[in-house]
Amino acid sequence: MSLDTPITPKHLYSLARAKIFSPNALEYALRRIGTVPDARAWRHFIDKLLLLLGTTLLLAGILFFFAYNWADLSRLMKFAVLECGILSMAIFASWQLRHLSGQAALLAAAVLLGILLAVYGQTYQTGADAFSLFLTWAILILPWVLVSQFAPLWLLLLFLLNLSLILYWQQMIQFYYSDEQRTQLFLLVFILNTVALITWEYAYRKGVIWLQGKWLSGILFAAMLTAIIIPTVFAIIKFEDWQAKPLFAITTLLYISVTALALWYYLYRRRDLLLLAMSLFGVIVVFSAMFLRVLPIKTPISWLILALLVIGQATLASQWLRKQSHG
Amino acid sequence: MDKPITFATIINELELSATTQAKIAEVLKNDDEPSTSWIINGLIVLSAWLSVLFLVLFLVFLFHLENNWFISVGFLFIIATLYLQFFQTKTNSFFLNQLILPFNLTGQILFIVGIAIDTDIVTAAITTVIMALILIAIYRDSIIRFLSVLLATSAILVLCYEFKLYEAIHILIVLMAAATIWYWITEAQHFSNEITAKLYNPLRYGFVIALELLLLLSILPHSRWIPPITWWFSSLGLTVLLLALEYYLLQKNFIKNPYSIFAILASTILLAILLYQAPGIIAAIILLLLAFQRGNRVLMGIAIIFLVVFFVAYYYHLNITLLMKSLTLMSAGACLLILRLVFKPMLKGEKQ
Repeated sequence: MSLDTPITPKHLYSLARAKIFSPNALEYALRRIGTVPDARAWRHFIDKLLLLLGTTLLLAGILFFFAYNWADLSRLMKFAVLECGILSMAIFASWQLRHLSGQAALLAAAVLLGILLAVYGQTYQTGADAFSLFLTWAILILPWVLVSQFAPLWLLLLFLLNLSLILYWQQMIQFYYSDEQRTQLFLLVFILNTVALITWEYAYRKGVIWLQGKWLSGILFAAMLTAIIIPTVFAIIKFEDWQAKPLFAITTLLYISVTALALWYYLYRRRDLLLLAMSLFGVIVVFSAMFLRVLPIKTPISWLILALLVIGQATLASQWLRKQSHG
Repeated sequence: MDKPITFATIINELELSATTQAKIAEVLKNDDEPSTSWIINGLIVLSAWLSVLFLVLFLVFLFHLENNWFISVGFLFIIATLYLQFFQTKTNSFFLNQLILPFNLTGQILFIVGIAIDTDIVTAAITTVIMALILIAIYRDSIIRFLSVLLATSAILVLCYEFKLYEAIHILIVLMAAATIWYWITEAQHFSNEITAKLYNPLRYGFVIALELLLLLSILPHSRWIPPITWWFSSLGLTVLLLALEYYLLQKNFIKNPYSIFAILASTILLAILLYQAPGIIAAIILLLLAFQRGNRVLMGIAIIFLVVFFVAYYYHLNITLLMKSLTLMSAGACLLILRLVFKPMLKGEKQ
């Protein structure tokens, strides 16, 4: 590392620990690289903070005001308020769509649309199922989601689709939950979120600018992994039913394939330490369930073996991750 | 776009000698000690707690809930892990480090629970404080040191409760906030000392989380376990600390205009009067300012989360009608936006 290397705070702390930089020198250097802000940065920060807090409180107050007066408003007034809100947000968004304020306005319009649908259902007592509300909401905001190029709006759409699926399953397909039916639902949720994740990965590889933030992939991956781990753990616990219920075996095989694929992809194709760590934690959970199933739980030593197995797995996992993060 | 600042630039500006430059180059060359990513630490902590659960179950099944074993086994675990810790430092064994953490946590839980059952809560709390302080001093793991701060704070809180000194929580909160502020703004001094540098990260985050957890009590409903407390005492103490911090930051950034200083401090006092029943919000503002001052994103995230939690709780618990709440929110929002316009010309820095 040469002296022409750009400085990071980590370097400066190392130099301070080695007593090469005095406290004053460290403070000077931190200020110089912008870690410690100057007056200009403070002005900018306070300006943005007051704007954000002031706007949030003002909007929240307006929301509460309408909530207070809601029962006294006429049917027409209720629809007028919501529709004016949607219209004004949409107009503002069309004017400022390439800026964060415009995209946030479009998100607000999408949320208000959902409220409008709920009020419509309540007012006219249409008798529609809950899932149809969320599905309609999702379909109606689809054009906005496509033009917005705003990741949180995509997340809202995915959330609505997940909710629609779960409610549809509960209300229309099954009236009670058996083990297999529960597993089927989880698998459907898994498929939906996997499609979303694959779409994101494809867009990321194509260099779609507004999807370069990896936080969205973290959320999608966590949702997908949770949707497959829960039925897998359940399938392991109900191992004796595998012959009668082949879906359990399929779920477990699916989990193994997905984890193996995820580990390969996020190691060799798009290195992502967080997603690798999530995958490995999932492996620890599933293996623990497996050992819990195999070991006699009434025997004390089983719990000690379990504890040591978890420690061993965690050690191997974290050691491997460390190597990958510096590799 | 500004060019990034390099070591060569800083060396020139600080007029460092050639010997010092050589030392810098040497430190940077050897500074390839990989630090463990927070993701990996998170995985280690989650797995540690999972194994603690299994270990505790093992011991409970083994000793059939005979609590006279709790103290001995717990103490044995703590001593054994302390010894292994020293051994691990010499061998730098990653596996040993992962093994020690859950065993140490299990030992602490058993030890404290054992003492509580064998004697009383007060003795257990006092023992916990002493044990936590010893672990902070001699145990070299950041996670244990961080958890020890939380443990010690909880134990002190339990003592206040047992002795019916409910209002003593305000002293604890103000002391914790003062320690947090002092610890964060003297970051440079701590990093320059080899001993305090190792303690720095776990303690500074420990203070922050302990402070916020104490203040969470102010938004929980009254119950047998949470007696009624006059929270404005904490608000007063925290406001004084906030004013002191603001004054320090204004001086540090060379804002010496008396009208600007007066406007900022007066606005703070007004805000504190409006929020006298919400010490959590004042504490979150303190953390927000500290986070920005030190350029620390983790602290910024913590401050924002707690600010939102305390704000929502404040308005939820306000004993006024929904109409009044809406008017209060709108007025507060409008005031902040007006303040923004007022402060804009005032916050120009003078020549540094």
